[in-house]
Amino acid sequence: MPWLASGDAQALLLTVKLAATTTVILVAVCLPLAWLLVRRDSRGRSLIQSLVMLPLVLPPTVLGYYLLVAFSPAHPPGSLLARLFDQQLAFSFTGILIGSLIYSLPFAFRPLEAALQQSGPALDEAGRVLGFPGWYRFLFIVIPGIRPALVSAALLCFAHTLGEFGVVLMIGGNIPGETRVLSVALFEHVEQMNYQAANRLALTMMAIAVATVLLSQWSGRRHDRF
Amino acid sequence: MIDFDVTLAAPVALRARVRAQSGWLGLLGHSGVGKSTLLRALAGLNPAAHRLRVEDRAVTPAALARRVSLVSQTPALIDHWTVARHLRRVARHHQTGDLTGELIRDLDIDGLRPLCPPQLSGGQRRRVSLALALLRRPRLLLLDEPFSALDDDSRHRLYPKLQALTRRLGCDVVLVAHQIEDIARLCDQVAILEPGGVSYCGALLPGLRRYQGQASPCSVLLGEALSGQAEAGLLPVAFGARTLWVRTPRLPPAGTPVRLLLHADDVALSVAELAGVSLMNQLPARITGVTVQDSGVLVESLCERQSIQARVTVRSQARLGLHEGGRVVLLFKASAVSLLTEF
Repeated sequence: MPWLASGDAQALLLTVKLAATTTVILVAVCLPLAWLLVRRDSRGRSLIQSLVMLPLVLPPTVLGYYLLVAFSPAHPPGSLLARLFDQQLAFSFTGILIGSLIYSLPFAFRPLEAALQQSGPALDEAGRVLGFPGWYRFLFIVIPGIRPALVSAALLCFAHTLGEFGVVLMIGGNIPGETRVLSVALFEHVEQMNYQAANRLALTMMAIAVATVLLSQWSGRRHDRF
Repeated sequence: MIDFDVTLAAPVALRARVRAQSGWLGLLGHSGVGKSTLLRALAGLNPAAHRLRVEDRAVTPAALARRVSLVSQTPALIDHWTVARHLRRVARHHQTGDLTGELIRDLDIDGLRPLCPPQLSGGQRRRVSLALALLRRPRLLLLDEPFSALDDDSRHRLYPKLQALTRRLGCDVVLVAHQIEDIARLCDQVAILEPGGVSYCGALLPGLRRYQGQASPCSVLLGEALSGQAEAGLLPVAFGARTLWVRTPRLPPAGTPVRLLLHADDVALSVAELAGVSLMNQLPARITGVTVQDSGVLVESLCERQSIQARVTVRSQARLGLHEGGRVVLLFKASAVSLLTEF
């Protein structure tokens, strides 16, 4: 008998796909955004920082509810988004992906901003003194220079998305293969008092979480030993 | 030609206009007057520089950064790159691969190539930064205290190599150095930076005299090395019709034009030549100026058409009756004279 039932294995794959996509998009967006905020001491900086941090203090169900309303085709933003993505966003993978992106945004942004604030200007100046242009300094000097923070942000974002429940349940419901992620499947098993399957799923999620933390520490140690 | 005009608002407000011949220009100025800030602005690193003009044309910091290399007091290197990667990437970006070998050899950094900056000592870091700055083949090289972390031996080896390299690459140099000897050794012209702007820009000797008048006074003398040293480590130098004796471990070939440095506090005065003393140098001179300062009396005199400064106490001035136009004999040991010229 396999460790996970086929429905749970499908949920695992979907969860990994959701977490990986969220992580890649968030890191790609947060890196230049954080760099822009670190370099430009503009008045809008605190406002953007507050907006980015908002999902951290907002209850996930509240965020999920507002997103569900926003995705509804009955309202202008929902109909516009539906046309843009060529599909209904509520109860779809794209919908839970957008929810994950918003919900995990601070977890990717904060460590990147802190690392760029600390090391970015010195690395950038070193590159400038050597005569490299701005894009080169950012891609080949600043980003490799904050690699531990980058890995940490990516892993934190990945791990956080894996365990997401409230937002996903509100926006996506429980559609196998489309929106049924691990946490939703676990909740369903507990509801049905299928504790064996629930235990296996919980252990699987625990193993992934532990592996993520170990990977983060290993990456930090490798960077220190240059 | 070194020609720039920089107006700065912060961190110090100043306007620096400098127009000098091609070559090495020494930038003199007291601590905190803005020398390093000016160099950073010239390297395009100071966003507060609100006006930058080079050769009478307005330029942007980015345009300056392309043509100017800076070696700062704490050289900025990329901690996660090895020295080899620094050299490779800078050479590739600026298409100067042909220079790499020569710079590695001249600046003696071959053994440092596998190391990362945190593994380098202060002196090694300076040498690597100098190599990288020159590898950019800049039009203007800015050196901010580049020799402060180097021992005397390394400095003496480095000076002629740096001069030869900058000459061959055709780049002008602005040098800020804590040791006045470094400037007197390497530069033919100086600019003096005072609060608010540049008060002097021109030939070395008058510049040094003017600057030294404000700080610890000294004289730079010109002569020609003679052969036939009386003993090892003692160099005779033709000083007009007279001979000066200089203690130095490095003896230049006969006929080499030499530049000498003599601190005013190391010169004693007498109204007549002395017999039976160990002093090697006794120069008759005519007093051209007597200035009373807080720290003593600065006596400026002319000998063999060169100006030499001596600083004595007010009591000595009164005892010897020193006055402008009077005759005096300058007394100093051979070891009081520093040989500035590299050969």
